Amino acid sequence: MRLAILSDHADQKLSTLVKQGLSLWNDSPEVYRSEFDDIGLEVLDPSSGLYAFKPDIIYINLSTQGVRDRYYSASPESRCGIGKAVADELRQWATLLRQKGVQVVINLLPAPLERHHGSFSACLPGSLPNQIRAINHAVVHQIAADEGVLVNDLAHLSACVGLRQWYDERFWCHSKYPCRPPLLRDYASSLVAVLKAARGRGLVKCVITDLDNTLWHGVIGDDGIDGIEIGGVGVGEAHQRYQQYLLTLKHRGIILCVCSKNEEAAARLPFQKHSGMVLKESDFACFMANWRPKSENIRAIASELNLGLDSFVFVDDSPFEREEVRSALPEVVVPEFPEDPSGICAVLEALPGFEAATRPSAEDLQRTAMYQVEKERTRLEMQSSSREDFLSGLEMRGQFAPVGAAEISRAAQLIQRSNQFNLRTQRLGTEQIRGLAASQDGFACFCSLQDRFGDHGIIAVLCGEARENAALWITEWVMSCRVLGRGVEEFIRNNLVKTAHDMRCQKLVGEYLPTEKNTMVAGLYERLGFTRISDVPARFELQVDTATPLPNFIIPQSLQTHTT
Amino acid sequence: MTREQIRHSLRDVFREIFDGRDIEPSDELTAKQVEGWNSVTHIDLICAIEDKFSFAFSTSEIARLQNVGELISAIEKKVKD
Repeated sequence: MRLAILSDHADQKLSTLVKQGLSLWNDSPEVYRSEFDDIGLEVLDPSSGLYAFKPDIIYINLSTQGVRDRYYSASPESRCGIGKAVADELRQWATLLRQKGVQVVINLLPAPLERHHGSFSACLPGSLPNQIRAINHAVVHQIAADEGVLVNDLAHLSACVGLRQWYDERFWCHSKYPCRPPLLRDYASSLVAVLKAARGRGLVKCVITDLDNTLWHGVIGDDGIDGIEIGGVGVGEAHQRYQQYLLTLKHRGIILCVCSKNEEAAARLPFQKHSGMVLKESDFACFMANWRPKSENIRAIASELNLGLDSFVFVDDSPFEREEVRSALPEVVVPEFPEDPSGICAVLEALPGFEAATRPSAEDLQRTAMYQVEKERTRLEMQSSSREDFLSGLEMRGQFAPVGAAEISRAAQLIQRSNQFNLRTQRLGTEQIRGLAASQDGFACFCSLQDRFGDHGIIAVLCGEARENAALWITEWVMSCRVLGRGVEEFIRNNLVKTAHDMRCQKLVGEYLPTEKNTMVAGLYERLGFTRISDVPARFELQVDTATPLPNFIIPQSLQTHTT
Repeated sequence: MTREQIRHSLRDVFREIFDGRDIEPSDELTAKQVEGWNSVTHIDLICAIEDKFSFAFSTSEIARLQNVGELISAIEKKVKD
């Protein structure tokens, strides 16, 4: 990652902390820091040090105090325009940087302590608090809405800390620190979480929850359906709110699973009989209620859902179970359960893994249902006499088509989320995909899949561009692991050959760039008939004219018949 | 708290701020003589001292205190108050 930090205040300490935070997951983060506090000067000058650095992400780091300085320097009658002036600058910079294909992150500013009119300041458009609000409003509703821009929500962070704790004006006066210096750690962590999410790293995909004294108060096996507490007043309210919190996570596409030491019938009883329950059995992709070690159950869930253990959060009130899972499966995130169950949502909220970089897609809302349908497919597979029998029994239909406005958000999200089936891990953003789709020499296609059990939606994204020697380079290929082993790779390969043919290219060139997680696709190109032409980087090519179609059981469908 | 007690505590603070190095906080020692005592670590040092002794320096003290003798005198005065 090449990160440039552009600030209107001292950022040396911050950049050191951010670099440390990035180093924990990124091999060689480079952090550029502007020597000037005039951000516009750097952004608008093509020969500035900023562009010489060639950043792939730029963090525009304004401070409330910086805006305050401008507010105080303006004449009283022009102060009501400061917020708009700052927002206009931000928009100009963001647009310019986005055109250059750079990801932009902007701060949401902490509220100022100075209000000048008490509570009534909130009713005066020209007040300092409202000018700060106007900037945040423009960032969220106009600048971020184009999706190329992410925010580091310092307004939230500072509110969590408390503004009186957040600000220490001594250090602003002395050396232009935007907050109490030790809080720069939290400031940096918040930014690192956003940057990680922008690169699709460290995201939670599944929450596994215990039941007794976690999802409800009491032990169903001992206390019975009338003895446990969910909802009402008191501790039952805390557990009910935890359920509402989980349900909201499910709505944004996070998979929920149960892992409880219980008799299965007893464990399911509250879901069927207790009126206080918010979550239903159908909200869970897996329901593990048995007496086996929890780590064993979690491993089974990982293999059933085909998700990496490091995308799991495990919530359990029992210190014994937490320790058992931590020691057996160190990749799983296991937060401490709070002293009092009313604190559990705050504990989950503090985990960096719930950060997101894309809006929830239609796939997110249906993700749990998709995993449930997957079980139906598994059943068919068990009943089928052979692999071919199973694949033809699925009655698969596939589309391979250019990414359009309707698919762009899901395409970007799939690129963000895919770690295992990801050939080059380029993490192309919305703008880059849009650019390739519109370009004469490039393509950005998606592949979607349906079968007799339902719609998988968009399950692969491919991007590429024609280069010299009539070669079509495949610059991005990601696929959801849910559809492995169905012949989708072969289907895509055949469509790539067709795309290359349509673009008058004579050969396809693909690369495999290894990461810690994508070894599963190391041999993909050779399996699909490509010839290896170099080892570092591992590069493969396929002659378009002599490539015979690879057999598969997916019936091509035109886009018009694709209904979701 | 005596000057020597303060000096003793400062050794720990210096070690923490200056990457584990043992730096003797003698009265004559100035920021210029310590490798790595720059504008950033100066703020780190000020905050660590405030944390350790539970008081707050004034803005002018933050700017002024660049030698250990004065630093100890300032702490001595604050802690007494």
